Amino acid sequence: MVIRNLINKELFQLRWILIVGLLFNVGTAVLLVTTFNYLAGMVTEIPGEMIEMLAQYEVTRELLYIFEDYTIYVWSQWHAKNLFQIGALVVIIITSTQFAGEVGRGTISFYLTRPVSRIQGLSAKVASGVLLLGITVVSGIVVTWLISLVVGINANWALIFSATLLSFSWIIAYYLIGCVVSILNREPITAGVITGLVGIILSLPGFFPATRFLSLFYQMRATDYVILGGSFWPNLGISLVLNALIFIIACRIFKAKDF
Amino acid sequence: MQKLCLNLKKVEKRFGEKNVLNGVTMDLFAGEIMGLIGPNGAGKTTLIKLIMGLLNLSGGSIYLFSRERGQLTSTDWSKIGYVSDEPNLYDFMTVDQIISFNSVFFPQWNSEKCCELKKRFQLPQHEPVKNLSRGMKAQLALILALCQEPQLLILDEPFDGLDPLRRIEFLNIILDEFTSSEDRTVFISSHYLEELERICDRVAFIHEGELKRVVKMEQLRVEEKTIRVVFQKQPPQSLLSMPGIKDIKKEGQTGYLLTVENNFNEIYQACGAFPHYVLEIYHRSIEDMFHDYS
Repeated sequence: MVIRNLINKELFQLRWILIVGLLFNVGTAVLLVTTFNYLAGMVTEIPGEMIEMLAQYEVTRELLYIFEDYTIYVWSQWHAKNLFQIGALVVIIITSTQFAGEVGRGTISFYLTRPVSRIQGLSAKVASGVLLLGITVVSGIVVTWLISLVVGINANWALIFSATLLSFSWIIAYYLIGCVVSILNREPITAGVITGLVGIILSLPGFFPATRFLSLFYQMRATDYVILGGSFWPNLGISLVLNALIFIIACRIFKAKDF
Repeated sequence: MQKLCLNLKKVEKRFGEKNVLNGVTMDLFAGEIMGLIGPNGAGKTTLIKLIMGLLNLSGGSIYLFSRERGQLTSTDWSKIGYVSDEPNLYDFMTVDQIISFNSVFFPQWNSEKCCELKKRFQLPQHEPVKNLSRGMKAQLALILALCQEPQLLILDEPFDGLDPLRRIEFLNIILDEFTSSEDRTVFISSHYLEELERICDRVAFIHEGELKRVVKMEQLRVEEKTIRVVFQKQPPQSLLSMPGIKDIKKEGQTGYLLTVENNFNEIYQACGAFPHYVLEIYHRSIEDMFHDYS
């Protein structure tokens, strides 16, 4: 009851991010589904010799590949692009608000002097953050699925949803890192900038084929799983263990911090 | 035997190299109203934040209701009401929303009292907290703390921003509620010394992180007095060095302010026996104590 009350407070405080995120995702989903047939139709109308010529370039090869299969198309638009971009943006906004924002506004003393332990307080914040991220991130995929059903376009939805779970799990890892950064800072803007910088640093291994598996953002795309046929469970397991470790670190820092 | 409500043992707090509190040891008994005074930067807020668990101890220990602070359960914490020095409440909530949010945490929440106080202090129910004045926020913070029916009420400069009428009203509420019960205790830090004097059973004086003195108000009123005397000529040194005189301040050539801790009658008679122009008695106040140690 008490924890639910804290979660409700967090969701109420962050409701505008949730509403904007939902609107953006729903709009994107509608556009994405309704334009697929039109765009795929345009690709099929390209003469064979021109396709052969275009196939010399990697970008166009990828583009042609995307329009061959609706499953790949949905993945390329959500997981490979929007999900991690929106996810990262939402992570920066909510983590800086949830901890450094509360310290900056001076409300942390009110929050922490309610009869809950610090771990309960942190858990409520993390739970609401994960819930908000989940709604924001997954909503686009769910709406895409529903509209696709209505329009009658088929895709491998089991693959799409399991890839979404992987993406989400890696986004949570970035969210928890953002929580740690925000706990360590007293100003929300500073916390947001540092979380962004940490994100950039964590994305660097993704630019090199040999190290890209180390990049959080590469993992958020679930490329190995969807495109290269990688295994689902080991990837999910690694992300969950990583999340648990970062959460424990966050708990320790939050417990030891002077407010 | 009096029941301990709060027990501080050699409490220390350091921020980096800076010692903010040095071995503060103090007891607060159930049913007491205790004031905490001291100049700005003395360590009052730090001490209160340590009690409330907002800061971690650098040394020593804090016991609340005979339990080590770290071992307190949620039920124990729900018996403690706290108003911080800054009434920072959630700006995005309305008055009613923050009351409803807060009430969930406290099983003993008194909704009737809350409605009554809200009306009495004319708090706009549907107004967002961000639109309230500082004074109104302070009132709301006090109402939130009072309606949880705490056994121990910890107030850190709760009257800042309140007009004198509201201040007196809140003091009366605190007096009514907390003096009528033997179990309910108040620990209050404030710069409004006259008002502390009115409500407190004991006052602790803290300066530069050290607890200088804890005095019973009764003792301060009855035993400690100041004699203002203007002699006709210089008095003998034996008069000024009589046992019981704690402090001497000179006023002009032959005028003296004698702070008397005990042995009052003898000192007063000796002063009266020596030729003088003026001989007056003042009762000591918390303010005098504040000046003594600042």
